[in-house]
Amino acid sequence: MKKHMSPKEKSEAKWGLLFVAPTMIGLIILNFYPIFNTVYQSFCKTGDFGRGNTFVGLANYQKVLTATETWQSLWNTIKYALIEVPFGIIIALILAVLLNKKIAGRSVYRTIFFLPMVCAPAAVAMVWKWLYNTQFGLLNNVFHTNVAWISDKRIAWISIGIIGVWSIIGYNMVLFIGGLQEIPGDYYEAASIDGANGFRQFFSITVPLLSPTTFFIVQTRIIGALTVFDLMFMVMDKTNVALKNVQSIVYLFYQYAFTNGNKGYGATLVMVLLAFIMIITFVLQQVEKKVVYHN
Amino acid sequence: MSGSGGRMQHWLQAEKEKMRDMSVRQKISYILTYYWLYIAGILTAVILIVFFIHRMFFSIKDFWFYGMFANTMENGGNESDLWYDFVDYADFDTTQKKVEMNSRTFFDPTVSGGTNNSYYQAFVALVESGDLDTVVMGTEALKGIGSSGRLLDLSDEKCADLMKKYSDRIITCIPYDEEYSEESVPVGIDVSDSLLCTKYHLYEEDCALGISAYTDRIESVETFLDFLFSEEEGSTDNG
Amino acid sequence: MKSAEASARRAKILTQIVLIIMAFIMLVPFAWMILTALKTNQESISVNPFYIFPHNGWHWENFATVWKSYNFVILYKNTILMIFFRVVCACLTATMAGYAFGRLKFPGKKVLFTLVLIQMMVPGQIFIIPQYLMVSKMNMLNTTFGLVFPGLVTAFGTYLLKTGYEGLPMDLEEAANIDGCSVPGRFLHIMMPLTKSSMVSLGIFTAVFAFKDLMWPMIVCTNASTTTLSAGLAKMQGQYGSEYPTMMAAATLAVLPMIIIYVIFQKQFVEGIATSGGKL
Repeated sequence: MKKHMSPKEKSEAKWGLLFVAPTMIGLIILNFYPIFNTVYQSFCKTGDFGRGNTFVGLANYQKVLTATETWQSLWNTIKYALIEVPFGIIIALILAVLLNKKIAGRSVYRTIFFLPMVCAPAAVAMVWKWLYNTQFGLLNNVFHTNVAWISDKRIAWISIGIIGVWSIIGYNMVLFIGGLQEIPGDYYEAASIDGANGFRQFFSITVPLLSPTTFFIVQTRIIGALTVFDLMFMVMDKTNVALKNVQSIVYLFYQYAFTNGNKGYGATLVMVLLAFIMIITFVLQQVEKKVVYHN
Repeated sequence: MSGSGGRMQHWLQAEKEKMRDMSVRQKISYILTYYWLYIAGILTAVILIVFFIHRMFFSIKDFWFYGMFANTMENGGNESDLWYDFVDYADFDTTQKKVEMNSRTFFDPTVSGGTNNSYYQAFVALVESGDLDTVVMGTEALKGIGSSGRLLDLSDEKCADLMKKYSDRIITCIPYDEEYSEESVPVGIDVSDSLLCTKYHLYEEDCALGISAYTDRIESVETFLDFLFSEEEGSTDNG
Repeated sequence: MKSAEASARRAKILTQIVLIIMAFIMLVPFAWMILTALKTNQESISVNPFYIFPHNGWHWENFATVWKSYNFVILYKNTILMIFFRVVCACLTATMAGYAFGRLKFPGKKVLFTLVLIQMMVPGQIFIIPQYLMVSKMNMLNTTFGLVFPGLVTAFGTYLLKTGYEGLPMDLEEAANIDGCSVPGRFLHIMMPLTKSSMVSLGIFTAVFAFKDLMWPMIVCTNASTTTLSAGLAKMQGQYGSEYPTMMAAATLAVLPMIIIYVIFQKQFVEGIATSGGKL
């Protein structure tokens, strides 16, 4: 840091630190203490049956990195993200833009699109299981097909991705609507007077001015998709033959750390995932500087 | 610091100056309009601090006993008949430490996806924090939990007494992690014919009790087991 | 002029069609939830598509059963208290931190923001056990504070509001800076009111996540008098698939206040246009 700061800079630095203090202190206590704990555990063999932990160095890392299961789940997670992130964002953006205009029933639509977020997870799981059911499922009945939507290795990941997109649309849409609200209406008025049509307005005003929000959603959804867990938790059983080709890395972590009680191995999986997401985030942050519009 | 103190004084004087000609009512409304945020902040802080001190120093903190009864539809929770009878039997003073019973969890490692739920996560948190002492559930399910290494190995010195007393009721399981042992480890005590089933009807089929691997209240567990196998007495029914 | 009007009308109709289709897709599970609540147990587990509607009469009494067997007033109260405090804490800490990260220069900014991002990258399951231990050691089990505890600060909200503040035009604050307005003054009187819609989104998300969080209330609040809706319904949801109608009736009753809260918040959203759009 610079040694000579003007009084103005000094006051900014002082207030800046003061403003982030509550959040940072909270995060350190609530989240970073557990994270460091996890880092430590990844070097340990956790003691079963009350026998205490033993330090094993990098043994867990060696096991995790040489297991094909790890790489398979990482690849599953990436495939899932490749469906959920782009489709979830594009559909939500279109809906948000449509709902930002003055149209009949706007607030009713907004409420309806919000409903999946508060709906009981058990109901969501039931509906999708029914839709995908091979014998009685709506999809197979309507299309007269006989597809095993969630137990066929080749398509199960797509079926799971579709549920992912469906459940995230409302979430992305709320964020997009929030971002759209902050674009001053005068811009559109000026553009209308200039004779720009809806599409022109969308690409010349909405897209650039919304880019910070869009980037935020892309960044948080990539992280969210790569740490996906609940979906598989709800829909996939242990007996499902396609499980190996669908399970995400967090699901694998849960199986090891919670179900099997092997916390050291689970912690190592978290570390591998963290490293992977950090690389992607770093790349994204570089992209942000070039793409995102700041006034 | 002296600089900011001086500023404070200056500010106080300026405020006094402003309020000199106001009536009491005006003064109050002036203060409320300009400083409500600060007043609210300080009030909240004071309330929080008092609350914290009260909770941390003047209320019961430790447990006598923390038991979990999983997969039952009957009420075996706090202030149920089971709870009162046990507190009576063990003669625990609940104004000093707490007796906690939880009968609202449902998980089953023998069923596919039976541990993929929040109940199981809650159970793991309770075990690994060391708060939980015992868990009772169906015998097969308990074996599944035992395999994950979260139950105490009863051949441990700590529970030599228990081993001796209930040697004919021991339930064993094979750990998931082969590095520990490929042979079975004793993790549970069969309680199918105890008061849990005969008197409180928590379970209809086989059930067993496991001790958390992280507990340090083995004596309480022994008391609880004694209670479960105690003869039904008239006095408890009256209470 | 006439062709322009016609094309505008066509656009409107097209919009409505798209929205209606989407609304239908989004409504399915919700409708399913309510319809299941009105069925008999037998009907509810049948997956035959022809049984979408209850065909043995509409069993409204399922709602009554659930309402009677739980003290919903206490459950609503606890849930609303938890949501209220979590929303207040999240908005308060996140708006301050978001402003600092988005608009101010201070030492260590990059490192601290990286920490905020890292928090979002790890699966939430690793926080459960340490956080429970903290609440237990502080003797805060069975209190509202214990319920609110994991939501005191929010990395997601900090990032969201940072984005919100960054999006505001630079010249706004510069004018105030020249006038000699202090940092907190600028923050409170100029900047904060402009990020109202980001704050509302954060409020909605915090409320939804707090509401759906089943596990935390379940371990922190074991007394019936302190637990929340989602955890209070534990008994029904715990049984493996055997009592779907009552379970869904309970879930429907639980969701209603959330929808009401959302509808109220949504108004704030729309008002956001008037305030921020007008001033800019």
